[in-house]
Amino acid sequence: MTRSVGAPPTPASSSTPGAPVAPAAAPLVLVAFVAGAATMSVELAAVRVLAPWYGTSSAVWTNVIGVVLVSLALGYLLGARLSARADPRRALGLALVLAGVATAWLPALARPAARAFLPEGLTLEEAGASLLWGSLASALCLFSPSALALGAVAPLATECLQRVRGGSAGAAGGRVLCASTLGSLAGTFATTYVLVPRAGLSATFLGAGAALVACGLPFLLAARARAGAVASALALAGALGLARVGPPPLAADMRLLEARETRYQSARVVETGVGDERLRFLQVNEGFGSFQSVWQVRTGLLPEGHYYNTFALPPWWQARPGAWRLLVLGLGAGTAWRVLEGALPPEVALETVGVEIDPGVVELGRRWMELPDGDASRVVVADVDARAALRLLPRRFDQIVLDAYQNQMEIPPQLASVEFFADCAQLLARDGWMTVNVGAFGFDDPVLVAVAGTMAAGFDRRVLALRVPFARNIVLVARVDAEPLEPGADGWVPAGAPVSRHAGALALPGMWRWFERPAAPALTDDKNPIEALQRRSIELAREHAP
Amino acid sequence: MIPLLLASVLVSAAPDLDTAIALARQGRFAEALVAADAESDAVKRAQARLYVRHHAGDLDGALREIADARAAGADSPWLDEREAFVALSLRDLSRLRAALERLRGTGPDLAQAVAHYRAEADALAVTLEARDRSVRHARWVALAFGLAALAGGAWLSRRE
Repeated sequence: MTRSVGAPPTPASSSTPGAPVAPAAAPLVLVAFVAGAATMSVELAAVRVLAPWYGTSSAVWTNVIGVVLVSLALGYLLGARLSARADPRRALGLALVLAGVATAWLPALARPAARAFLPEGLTLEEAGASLLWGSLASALCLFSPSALALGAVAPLATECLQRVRGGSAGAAGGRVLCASTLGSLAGTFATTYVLVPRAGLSATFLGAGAALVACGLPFLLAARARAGAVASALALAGALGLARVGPPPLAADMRLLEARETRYQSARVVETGVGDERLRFLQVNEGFGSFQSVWQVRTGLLPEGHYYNTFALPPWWQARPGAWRLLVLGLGAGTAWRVLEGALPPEVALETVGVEIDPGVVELGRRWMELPDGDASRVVVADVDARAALRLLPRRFDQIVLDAYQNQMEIPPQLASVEFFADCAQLLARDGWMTVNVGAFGFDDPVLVAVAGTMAAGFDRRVLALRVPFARNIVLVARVDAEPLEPGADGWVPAGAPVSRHAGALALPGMWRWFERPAAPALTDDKNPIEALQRRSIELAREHAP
Repeated sequence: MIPLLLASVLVSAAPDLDTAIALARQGRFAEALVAADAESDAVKRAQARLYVRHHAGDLDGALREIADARAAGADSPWLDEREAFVALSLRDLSRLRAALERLRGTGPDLAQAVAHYRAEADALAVTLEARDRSVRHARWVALAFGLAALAGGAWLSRRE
């Protein structure tokens, strides 16, 4: 026995178990599916829409997920309250169109909401508290309305379904939850693999918003809430016309060459200077004046302050003609390759493999930064995590460069464990070198201490830490079968080399420190608190910042 | 992938501090430090060591040299100007302001540089104040939402 929605509920015993779903029930199941998909689209794309300002660190993810969960919980209560009304179709329609309109307007509102809590001109260490609290406040302002309305959909759809089909509340709730969860599944995969990388953030939010409004309008019209239907349609049309996610403003001397959403991050290539003095930077997410890759017209050393120059020292210290087999983990757009290519000793040729997890970054590198494509001596392994790639590389390398970051400032845990460094040591040829870029605020930085000690444990030798001149980077140097040279020792400054000046600066007292092998490594695959150490590093920097 | 460039610092022309300066300009920094230490005059020695550190990109070391020079009794507007320059590179507002305070009333040869540092200090202060204000606002928004969520949840959970 079925009843029209809006009639008072009948006892559960009046239902017919196993009866086919009545025609009026199908739209309700569809609504639950669409709401579930939209919820995950909003949640996943929410982090990406905040990324140009706040990044995608664990703190940002936690804040966004927390806001969405609290809002959904309130929405469930709201929906439960509204479901007791005589005609819950009206409330269901309203919840859907409100969620749709709020979602569709997210691209237009993201920029002002983010800027309200994050002023321009800050450096990374200055922005610490702003990143934490600003991302929370921005997420509250932006995502709580749509998540609240989306939360109300499930109980309202359950109530409507039960009134349509009869039967128990549990049966109706089970069907709605099943449809909603399947929708969430579809929304998760579609958002990550299709919508954001192919259609972009604006289209993702607008599409989700339009789908929700399209689902809600028939319920409003059926409930004779024509004013609400017209208003929501107009609000959606306004969002379609105006809503676009814009990148953060560029510095005055920068030109935007291309911006895109990759599978992993918001990426853009910017350029400064003219003619042969041009520099191009690949920036991801929040930026804060830092960059993932840099390109200049000529190959070879970059201007002072770039840590890539330190990677060019081992071939000079090794002083052996022939092929220099280089593995770069975290290739980005190929900066390390270009630096070494133009700064190698005479009679040394580069043979290199680069691993980059983000194929979107590789594409940008090929388009704007002369990243080779199809060169047998420059092999790019894209779309693979560097740790997984280690097992695919049978060659013995003369040097491994580790320059892999996630969320702008976090070394991935799987690339900072004693097992990882031991695997790297196995991949190196006799007397081979490993150089690791660590963003650190001095030799006492907790991240540096942990990574250096872990690296020393992995190599079973002490590790040399070098402070990069004019920068907040430290490059760790380790070697198999031997130790790196003592800074300032004979041969440390290669005579006549382009890297001589750089080596000379690194040899000054205070610019280097040895890290001994610890009794127990701080970071293992089993227990790796690198994220907590990175938070502590930022906190310490903030305490010392003005 | 996190360079955090402080500045592509152009070391400005320093007083002629003979051998140490020349060696530093050639990138022979260790020898330059040795040459600086051979200077008998305390102020000149401090200036030379500072120049070497600064030229090598060791900005924290440059600040240490300034502190050591002051501790040794060296005092000159040039030291103050260099401190302001390095503090600005490091965005250390309190140190920058302290250096500017010491530079108050110096001669016309440094007036242009001091005016530049003062403008930069003001801009940095505005940025940092905006940051503090935005953090306060964000905390209030979070608190207000939390209270509203609690109140709303309690109201929605009550019996009809």
